[in-house]
Amino acid sequence: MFYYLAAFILTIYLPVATPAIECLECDQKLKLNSPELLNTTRTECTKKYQVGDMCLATLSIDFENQTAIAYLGHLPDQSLTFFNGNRMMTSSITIWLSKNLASQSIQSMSIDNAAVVEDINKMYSRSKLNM
Amino acid sequence: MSIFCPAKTLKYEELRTKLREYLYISISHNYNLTCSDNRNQTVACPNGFCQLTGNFTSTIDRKCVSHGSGTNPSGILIGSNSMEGSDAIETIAYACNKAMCNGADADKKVRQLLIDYGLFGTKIAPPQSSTKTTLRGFAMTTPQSSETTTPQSSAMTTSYQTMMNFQWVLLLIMTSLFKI
Repeated sequence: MFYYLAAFILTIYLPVATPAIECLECDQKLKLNSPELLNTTRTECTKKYQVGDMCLATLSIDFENQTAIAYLGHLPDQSLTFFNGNRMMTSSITIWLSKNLASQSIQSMSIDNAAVVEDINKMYSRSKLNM
Repeated sequence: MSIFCPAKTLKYEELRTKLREYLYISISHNYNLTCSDNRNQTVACPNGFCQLTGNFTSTIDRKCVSHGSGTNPSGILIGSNSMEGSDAIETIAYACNKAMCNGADADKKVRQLLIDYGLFGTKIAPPQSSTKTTLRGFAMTTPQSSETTTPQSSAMTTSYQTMMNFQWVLLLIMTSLFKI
């Protein structure tokens, strides 16, 4: 009976002892004024398990140079403890007044890799529309 | 336009020109600069910069900040954070070197400018993902979905979905072994 109980407890709590999440990991430099597409299905983009709680997708746009960098990876901290699994998005636009520099960084964070990949694709396609 | 849509209609050069009218003069040091403080009083800020931070509903802080080590921090930062399905929480922060550029009057003009350019006060949630996420075996969907959203109350809630698939297999193997 003890062994059954031990086996049950072990299997129930095993996931807690293995904190890993599968996220796509890759980055891509992009030219906004070109027909270049964000491609998350290329061979360099592979799903990897890593200790962490959320997948992260970041799109950083340099308006002056019309370039962008897309980054997909893991968010290596315990954010999920605070946000309890919900998807989060942040955006920041910086416009310098003393120089001709303007940029935007948008981030999507989720436990679901597919959600952040979908977000970054949406964000990039929207940034291309009127550039 | 939501701030989460990457500036597809943002005329940033035009916006910068207008912002400069309220906030910026092209000199490296403004020895006679005056700023507003949190009590709306005029304070001298020789060789420094005026700074303002706030959110959409209110201004949180106005003060004079030092010039720093040779850098010119004149600029504006517009931030936005959103949880899934909720309105965005927006913040602004700027540093400027025109007289009283962090005062109530300039603050009002800057906010209106950002609203006009769709960067502030849009109250639009970020694009919703159509992807359903699974959390510890429970279904969790966006509010637009007709499916029930499971309340997420446990601080221990974690996302080890892949392991969930192997739990029952492992349980069977282990109990079989113990029987032997």
